Amino acid sequence: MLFPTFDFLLFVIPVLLGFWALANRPLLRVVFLLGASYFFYMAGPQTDPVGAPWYFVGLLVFSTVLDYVAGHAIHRLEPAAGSEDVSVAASAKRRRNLWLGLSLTGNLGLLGYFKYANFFMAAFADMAGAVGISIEAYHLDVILPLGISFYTFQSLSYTLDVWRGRLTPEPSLLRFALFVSFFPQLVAGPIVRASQFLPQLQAGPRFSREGMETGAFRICRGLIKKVILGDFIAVHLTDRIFDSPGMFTSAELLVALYGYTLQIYADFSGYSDIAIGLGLMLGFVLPENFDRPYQSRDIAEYWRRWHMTLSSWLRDYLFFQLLARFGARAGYVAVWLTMFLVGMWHGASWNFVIYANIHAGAVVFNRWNRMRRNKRGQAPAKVVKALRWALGSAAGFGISYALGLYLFKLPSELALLLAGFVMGAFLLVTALPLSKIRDGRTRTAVHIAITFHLLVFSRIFFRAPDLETARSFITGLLRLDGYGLRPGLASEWVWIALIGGLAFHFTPKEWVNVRALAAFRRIPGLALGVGFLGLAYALMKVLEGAPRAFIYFQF
Amino acid sequence: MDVDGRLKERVEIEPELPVLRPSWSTLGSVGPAMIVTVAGLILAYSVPALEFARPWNPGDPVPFWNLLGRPFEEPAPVEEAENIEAIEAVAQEVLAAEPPKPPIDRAPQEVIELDEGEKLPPYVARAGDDAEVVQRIELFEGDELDRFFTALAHSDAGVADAITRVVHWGDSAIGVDGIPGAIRQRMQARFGDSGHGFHLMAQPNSSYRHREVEFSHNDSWRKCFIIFKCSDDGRYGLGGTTFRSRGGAESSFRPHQERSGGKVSRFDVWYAAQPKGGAFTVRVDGGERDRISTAADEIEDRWHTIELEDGDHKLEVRAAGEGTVRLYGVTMERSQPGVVWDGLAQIGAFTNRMLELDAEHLKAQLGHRQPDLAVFMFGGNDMQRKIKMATYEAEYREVIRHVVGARPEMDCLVMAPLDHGERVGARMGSKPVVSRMVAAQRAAAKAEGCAFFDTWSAMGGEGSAGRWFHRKPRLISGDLSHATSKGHQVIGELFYRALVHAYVRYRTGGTDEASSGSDTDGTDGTDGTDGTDGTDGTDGDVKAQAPGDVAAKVDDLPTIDEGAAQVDDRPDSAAAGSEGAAAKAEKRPANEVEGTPALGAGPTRADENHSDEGGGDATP
Repeated sequence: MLFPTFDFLLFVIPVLLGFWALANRPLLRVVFLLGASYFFYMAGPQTDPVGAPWYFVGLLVFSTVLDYVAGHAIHRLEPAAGSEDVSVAASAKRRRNLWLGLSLTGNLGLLGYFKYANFFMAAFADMAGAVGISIEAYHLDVILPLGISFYTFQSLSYTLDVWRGRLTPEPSLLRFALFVSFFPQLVAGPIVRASQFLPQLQAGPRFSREGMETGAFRICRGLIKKVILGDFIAVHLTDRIFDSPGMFTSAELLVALYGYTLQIYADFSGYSDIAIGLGLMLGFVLPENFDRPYQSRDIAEYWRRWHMTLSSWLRDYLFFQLLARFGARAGYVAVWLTMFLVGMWHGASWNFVIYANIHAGAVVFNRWNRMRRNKRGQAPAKVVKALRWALGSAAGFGISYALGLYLFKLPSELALLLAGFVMGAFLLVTALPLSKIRDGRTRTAVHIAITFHLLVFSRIFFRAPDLETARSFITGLLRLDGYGLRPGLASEWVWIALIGGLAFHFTPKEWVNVRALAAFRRIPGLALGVGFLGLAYALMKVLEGAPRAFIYFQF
Repeated sequence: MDVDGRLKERVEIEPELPVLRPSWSTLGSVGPAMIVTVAGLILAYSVPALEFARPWNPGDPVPFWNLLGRPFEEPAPVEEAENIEAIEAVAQEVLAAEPPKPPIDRAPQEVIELDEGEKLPPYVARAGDDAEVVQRIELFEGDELDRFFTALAHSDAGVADAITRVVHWGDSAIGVDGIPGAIRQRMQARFGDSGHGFHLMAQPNSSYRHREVEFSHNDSWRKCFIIFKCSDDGRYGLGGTTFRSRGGAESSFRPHQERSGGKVSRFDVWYAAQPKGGAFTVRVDGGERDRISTAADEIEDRWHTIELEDGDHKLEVRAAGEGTVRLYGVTMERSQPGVVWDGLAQIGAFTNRMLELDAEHLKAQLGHRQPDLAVFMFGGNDMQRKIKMATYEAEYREVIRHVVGARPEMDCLVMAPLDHGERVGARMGSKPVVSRMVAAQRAAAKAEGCAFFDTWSAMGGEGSAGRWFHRKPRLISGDLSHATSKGHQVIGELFYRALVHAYVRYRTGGTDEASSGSDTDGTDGTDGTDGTDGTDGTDGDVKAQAPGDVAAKVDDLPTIDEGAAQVDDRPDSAAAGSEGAAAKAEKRPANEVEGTPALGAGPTRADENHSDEGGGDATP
């Protein structure tokens, strides 16, 4: 079910009232909320074409039972694993690892089958074709189950934490099932870890006036973001440009890129806002997922402010494990692998391979740039330094040029232009000392602008339906044809939403989080109700036509 | 746990704590607000005046539709589903193909000389001629495209200088040269590449782009675009836009090396000579500039032709002062036999804007261009007009008469508009006006003796915009009205297959030597079963091209002097007259009817006029 729909309104009001009424009955409230969450999941989004059928809920049940059983089995073996008897300990460790492996295989196997199998087969055929072996890739006719990328990670966090001895297992299967399927964040995050949510479920909901009003505020904010800055801009501007980039001018392509950059943020963070708001109204605290990410000064900071629950999940369960296992020398590889997986989590296609590598490469560069400044010791001679710079720049330029030429299939002059942009940005970032960023607004603005435009550029691969379209988009963009924007490209409302939305993103977050919230809370209940009705009517009008699925539903 | 969720210590699942239900005061302002919201909802459904505010109405998908067992959308009828599958198969074939490549040059030895009286070599099937056809060209009399096919046959045979030209007008559906480009590419790959064709001096708006031409201009031309009715004398040029400059405006043209054959052997600069006309210069490949004066006693259309060796050439045209020059565009052609398909997009135009072209001017333009076929693809903008379809049909007929009257020697073909979808609730359906407009255009085409291609049905008919939008990759844009670049390729392929199918039938006398697929089932698109859905009352009016009907055409195409002689050989069934056919014959000067032009020398329509239905006062 989609949040900004009449269906959801019919669903959520009885659920809120029912849960509040049952709040002091531990078993009933869990059963009630669990039933509501499964109903929410099965009443799939009313989109055309229709999504996965309701019985895909079986996968959710499978994942839940698997991790519940695995968690308990692992925990039961913990004392034996610490036994002084070496053979007993070794056997227990093996069995613990086996259970962990089973959980990983089960969850990641589902994800791999439904999300990545077709891409892997197609990629294999592509690569074989590149060396002259013609293979026709087998194609599985599968539908991606709703929210599978979210609930598998959520469920896995439980098993991993129990295996690491950081979490005691949840005794109640019902509560554990509710943790996996909690409807506000079930299909599009935030990814809530067992260690964050199971204790809350056990302790029971905590209601407060502040929580209720803040929750209602977050829901309104999320709906506005999702509908006006997400759907509205998509339908009236970005979709048609991304569908046929060859039909639009360079300036129009750039506008579409800015539009999509705003749209995807509004879409995803709007969903997170609604989820967090609903959680608060149900008496639970869900983790934040976004923190004005486009204000980031570098790519690493961006990933600390964008989809925070995913990046921190991979950081904790992958990056730190790699560092712990292979040491700091493997830092760059660990960074690249983590960021590559963060990128690939979003989708399975060559476009996402490029997208993931752009981000992974940028984070590796960012790490190098930070670490070289922290290095102590004798500075190399100026000549050596200059030579390094020259060689490094030439290599970077050459690689960018080659990528433009052979990967993006750009004409040589456009490949040169692309390489020029890339190296210009890298040199600028390198030349401006990060440690002094906070000293000057101009430097901060330059870093934010460069980071923002790196993100904007990478969105081409995120949004374009295939590599060919992405190439066409880049070619059109770099051509700098000077034809400008055609009259009537978008209505004035779209322009207002686009420019207003982007400008607003760069304002201090306190404007919304503190001042607007305080103002919202001062509104009398009746007036607020009228406001809700006005907002619902306005959104209904904006949404006339089909409501669109959240972009992150497809992940 | 630290701030970002990392665990420092083991998290214990604590015993349950007592929980209090939220009281009214705990709800704060949210409680009253929820009551108002629910009350507002109840009010919307109890007060008829508030119907506009109801979020759900009967006919919308029921809430929680998939759990309540109600299908989201009724399944398509079997026949429709099969048609959709056939279209999808074409789309997949097109999209799976390698990125389009420029047509391959016809080898010089393939070019043949044809003496007077000599017959064309028999038809030789080429790869793809038997591709399955989803939607056929509708030939109401059977011979609407004969002259075009005759020209095409000469190009096909490789007769020296046999260039088949097509002028393709339309609105934004053919903007950016998408659909014409896709057709051109296929036609040139099949029949030979005779060059890109017409290109304006500058862009009337930013949607005008021909990706096969490396084009630039310095944005100094003053433009007069036909959709703005900005020219008092109606001299807009073939492409619908006039460009003026007192000096300094400049444009350059070069066939794109990767996206086209990359060669040209003839540039024509289209301009108006006029009193106090200025001069313009032309320069090829950076060489010397030639100066052309446009001064004349009276305004008249002229052309400056530059013949070159076939190859990669760049033409620069510059307004050189001495007065105002008035230019229309440039054509790029090659001397080898083949096809030239002019994409003449009038973006944003209503159909009737074509009437703004001065009749004499249009005659001069077409007289120089010598097209064998005029294609019209309008309607997208007209859907927004509040106009009766009968009026629209009359308008369309007038447009056809206006254009074809300026060159009666050419055939005409109407392409229906693309599907235009609209969102109703969660569904995407076709706008109701689309089917009515298609019917009106079909009726106009039939009445004026044009062939008809039902683009809408080719896309899948009702709801096709929604289906094309939802498939991956998308074939139609988010506005549900304009095809994407991949959609252009699919439409181009659908049209190309239909055209080649009709051509093969013309060459083989309808014996389907090369045709297959749906052709064998007897529903050949000319029997009223496809495309003629009854909305326009044309069911059964469309003539079937039974093998015997056009037997005279089999391997026996008209030669230089044979055309007129063959007139009487044609069977009555193929020449059954109609209002349109009669109208065409009436318009054509007698000498043109009798003295059939050399390469357009198919069976003329003169013989149609002995039909009982047609009224035969134009019988030669």
